[in-house]
Amino acid sequence: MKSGEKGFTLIEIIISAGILAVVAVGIVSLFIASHVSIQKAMDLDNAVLQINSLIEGFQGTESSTVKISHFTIYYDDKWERSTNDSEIKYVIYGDFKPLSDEQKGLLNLDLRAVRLKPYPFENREDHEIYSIDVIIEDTSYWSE
Amino acid sequence: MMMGNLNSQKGSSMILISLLLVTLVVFALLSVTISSSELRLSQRNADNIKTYYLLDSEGKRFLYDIKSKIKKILDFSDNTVLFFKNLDSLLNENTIRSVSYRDSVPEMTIERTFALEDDSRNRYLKVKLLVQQPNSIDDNINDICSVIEWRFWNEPFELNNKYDLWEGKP
Repeated sequence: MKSGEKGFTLIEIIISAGILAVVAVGIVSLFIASHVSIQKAMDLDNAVLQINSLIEGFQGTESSTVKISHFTIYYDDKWERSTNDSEIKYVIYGDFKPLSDEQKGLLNLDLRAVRLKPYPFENREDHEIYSIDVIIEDTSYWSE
Repeated sequence: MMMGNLNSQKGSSMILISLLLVTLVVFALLSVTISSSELRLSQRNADNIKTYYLLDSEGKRFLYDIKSKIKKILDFSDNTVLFFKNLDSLLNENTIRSVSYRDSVPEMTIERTFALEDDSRNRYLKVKLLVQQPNSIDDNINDICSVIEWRFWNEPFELNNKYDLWEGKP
């Protein structure tokens, strides 16, 4: 701006608005990255919690309850069980497999927690949050 | 007033906006740092739990293995007097065992420690089993073999003895 003149020229306003826009985009993207990280951490904590409770529920189980080979549990955005399709955001897939013919009293339980909707600014759907393989003992096996 | 002492106020908006931007950048960076450390902590917790269940699974395999051996002995021999001798011959070299007597009845203690490296530190599971002599070949295996210790711990737990602590002796 030349001395003595009041106000800004259009070029000055455009340049300053451009600089502000670039800086603002940078700042907003940092906040979004932070939000996504917190969301991922929360999802991981919740998935671990839910999977742990499932494993402990199956520990020391009897063969009659593990006749099922697969199961799927649906959760809403607050990690509460849901059957409403529009609310479903997370799924836990469970898969029971006999360990081997020599180890009939042991079962392998494979658990996988998946987020169905993508995280903000990520395209990937069905994001695997956590997975674990555990061995479950069939307590009734030795009593037979 | 300070502003009154300035010759011109044309730069004040520039200073205010710069301060605002710097503040926003600082907060954004702090937010990113905190959230990424939160994610790391959650990941570490998840890995710890995974290691725990991995060791627990190994322990279960070991317990199953011992019970299978006991079943095998009971299936092939009805001589319960030779039970511990037969069991001893079936056990792996790495398996620590000892036979003791309670009221002149022999019982065997079998133990194994499993180690796993997780996040550059070792985690252990110690499984200790008590095998009692069966009265007959129809005895339940869960009654013959029982778990007396199933303990997890991290790095070798060492007491720091460099401090001259009073041990309660005069």
